[in-house]
Formats: sequence, C-alpha cells, structure tokens
Amino acid sequence: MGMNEIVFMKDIIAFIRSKNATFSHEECEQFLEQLFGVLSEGLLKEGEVKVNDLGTFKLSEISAAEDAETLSDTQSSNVVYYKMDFIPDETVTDSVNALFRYFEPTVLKEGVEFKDIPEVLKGEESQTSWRSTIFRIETAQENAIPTEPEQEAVSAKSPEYIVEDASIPPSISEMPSQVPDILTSSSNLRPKKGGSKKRLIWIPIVAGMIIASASLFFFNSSKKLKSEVVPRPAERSLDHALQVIAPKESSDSVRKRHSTVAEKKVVKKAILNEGQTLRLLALDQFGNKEFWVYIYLENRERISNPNRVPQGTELILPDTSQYSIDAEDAISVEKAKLLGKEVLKKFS
Amino acid sequence: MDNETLINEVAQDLNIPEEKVSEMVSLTVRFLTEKLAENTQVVIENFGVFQPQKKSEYILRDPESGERHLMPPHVEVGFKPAPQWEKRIIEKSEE
Repeated sequence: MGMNEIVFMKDIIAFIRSKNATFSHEECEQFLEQLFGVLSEGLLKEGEVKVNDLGTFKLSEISAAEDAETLSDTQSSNVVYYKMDFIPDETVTDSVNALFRYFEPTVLKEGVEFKDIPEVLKGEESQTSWRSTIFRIETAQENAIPTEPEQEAVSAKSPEYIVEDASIPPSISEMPSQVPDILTSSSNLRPKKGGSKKRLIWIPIVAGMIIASASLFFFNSSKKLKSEVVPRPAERSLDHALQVIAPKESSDSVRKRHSTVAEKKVVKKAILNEGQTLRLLALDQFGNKEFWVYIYLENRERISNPNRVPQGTELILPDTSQYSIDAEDAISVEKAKLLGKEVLKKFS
Repeated sequence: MDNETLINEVAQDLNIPEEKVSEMVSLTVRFLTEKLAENTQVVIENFGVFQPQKKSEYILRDPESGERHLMPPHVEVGFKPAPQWEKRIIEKSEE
C-alpha cells in the first residue's frame, strides 16, 4: 500500500474555499498558519493539545525509566529527552480503515501455522500512536555558569532524532529528503496577522519543463507521422486506373520485359466461342465474371469495344499473378469490378 | 489545551468570529481525514506530516491462555514533526 500522493496547505485552502466561497484565499492562509502556530505553542507550554475529530498531540519529557534501551545516556546531566506523540481520533482511524472494516480477528486452532505472518505477544503490540518521535537535547551543565558565547554554542547544537520504532518503513525514513524545503521554510510559530507568503517557485518551473518536453515530443511525433503518410491517389480516370493497376505498355523497356517474361512463361490464349462474351470467358477461366476487364486490357489492340467482341476472336489470357486475379479474394474481385466500370464509361 | 481553547485563541489572534474559525477547523479536519483515508500524505509546512501506514496482519498470542488470534491488516495514522521542532524544544528546555 504505497503512498501515492502528497497534498499541502494550499490544497487545504482550496478545499475550504470549495465548501465556503465566502472565505478568501488570504483568510484561509492566515487561518492555517495561526491554527498550527497556536497548536504548536499549546503543545510546548501545556504538553497536550486536543483537536476534535482529528486527535491528540502530546509532548513530554521522558526519563530512562520509560525506555532504558533507547535513553542510555540520561545519566548525564546535560542530556534531556522529549517525546512527541500523535493519537488519532476514532473518527480518523475508522475512516482510514474503512476497507478493512469487515475483517475481524480470527481464533487460530492449535497446529495452524502461517510461516510468513509474524507472531506478537499480547501487550507488546502498538497500542497508542503509530510511532513516537524522540528529541535528544543537550543542555548546559548544571554547575557551569555559561557565558554568552557558550550558551550560543550549546543552543546551536542540533539535537538528534531518535525514533522509538526501530522498524522504520522506507517511506518514513525518506520523508525528510522528499519534502525538506516545505517543512524547513520557517520556524515561526505564531505569525503576525500580515503573515509571510511563501511561494513554491520550483513547482511551476518543473511543470513548465514537463509541458515543454511533452510538447516537443508530440510535435516531433506528428512531424514524423506527416512524412510517413502516403498521399491519397488522385482522382481516378481511366488512364490513371490503368497506370495504377495494369502494366505499362508504352515503353520499349516494358515491352522487352514482358517479352522476357513471356519467354519464361507460357502465354495462354483462348478463342471466343459463339454466344460467349468477355464476362463468360472470365467466369470460365478465372472463376468470376468481373475479371473480364483484364482480358480486355491484355487484348486492347484487338478489341475495339468490350461490349461487342466478335465470335472467334483469339484472345490472350492475362497472367493471374500479374493482375492479382483471385476469385476467392473479395478485394481482387472488387478491384476488377471498379476497373471494369471505369472502362465501360468510355464506351457508354 | 482543548479544542475550544484552541479555537478561541485563533479567533482572538485573527480577530474573526469563533464560529468562522470553528467552521474552518472542521473543514481542515475533514480534509485531513478524507486524504488520509485515500492513502495520501498531508504536509503542514513548519508543523509536520500526517501519514497513513498500512500494517500487515499478524498473529497475536496470549502467553497466559495460549490462545492465538489472526489479527487483520489495518491502517495506522502517524505524524512526523517538522525539523523546526528541534529549535522549539531547545528553547523550551532552556526556559
């Protein structure tokens, strides 16, 4: 269950304003700064702050009696430990566990073992907060009379964070590196009414860079697509149709090629019988009447009108591979049909 | 400090009605709850981060009775204080 999103105070402001438009952005901003400022001050002064439906924050000084293992050097007079806890309200706990509300503890019978599931003794499981944060503070020694420079030196020492829960999830240990700028922008607790506005400049810069790179990517892709797109063929005229489909007969080189092919392949011929038309011949030879147009094209110099071909005319049968003649291929048939229509327009 | 005192102090500092502050606090808490339920971290600048963390199932054993229970997975909400708390606690300890 990885954490996917992070939201910030600006999102809280947007939410508040979405529920009540009378609240201005500045009002909400000042409110949030003041709320958590007062909360922090209350926690430091009184040690406990309760926020209804959210939870209770606690800050207390602790001794070695509470946790001898962690607080090993509390014997020293100049080290103090503080512990901060957050105990979420039942409302929050129930809400985040809505998906698991139908799960209940199950009694395990003797002998039932689960290798991958850890076993915990009753009383040792975490009862209160998920984890506590412990602050180790080094103070001036009791007998010493610190001068101003020494006091400054002492206060300048940054305390260490010691986390009570040893099994720190990776996501938690990585938190400071993930959001260092946001959390460390200012140490003011309760700001003045004016309040200092913080601008997250890096967010729009990064967003702008992402948008620019995405635009470049799509622009280049569309450019590539355009160059790859094959332009549609021009309007079909009889000549164009013949150029596209039928082999060219104008050049000598083509004739030479055809004759070469003819030398290699056997030229089939047929004689038109009585009552036979080009269509019937095509049906007989190629399995579909629509292929008559290829018989005509192959014999154009002999056929003045494909609608009236005299009986006994010797006709060269077209090579099926050359014209893609295939009675079982619907595309081939359709192509022949369209070509036939174009041819007939000239004779209609 | 209880909830009422918190609202009262914020209202005084901002010089706005308590009802208004109370509504804003409710909306803030509602936002936090909804986002945590969506497995989203909520960062409060200068204060800390609220984080939901899934805990896997485990077997709870009672050493006295020997009974074992398979406890279902659940989500816990944690809070990680901002680094500014270091300085605040130092100042508190020096008082």
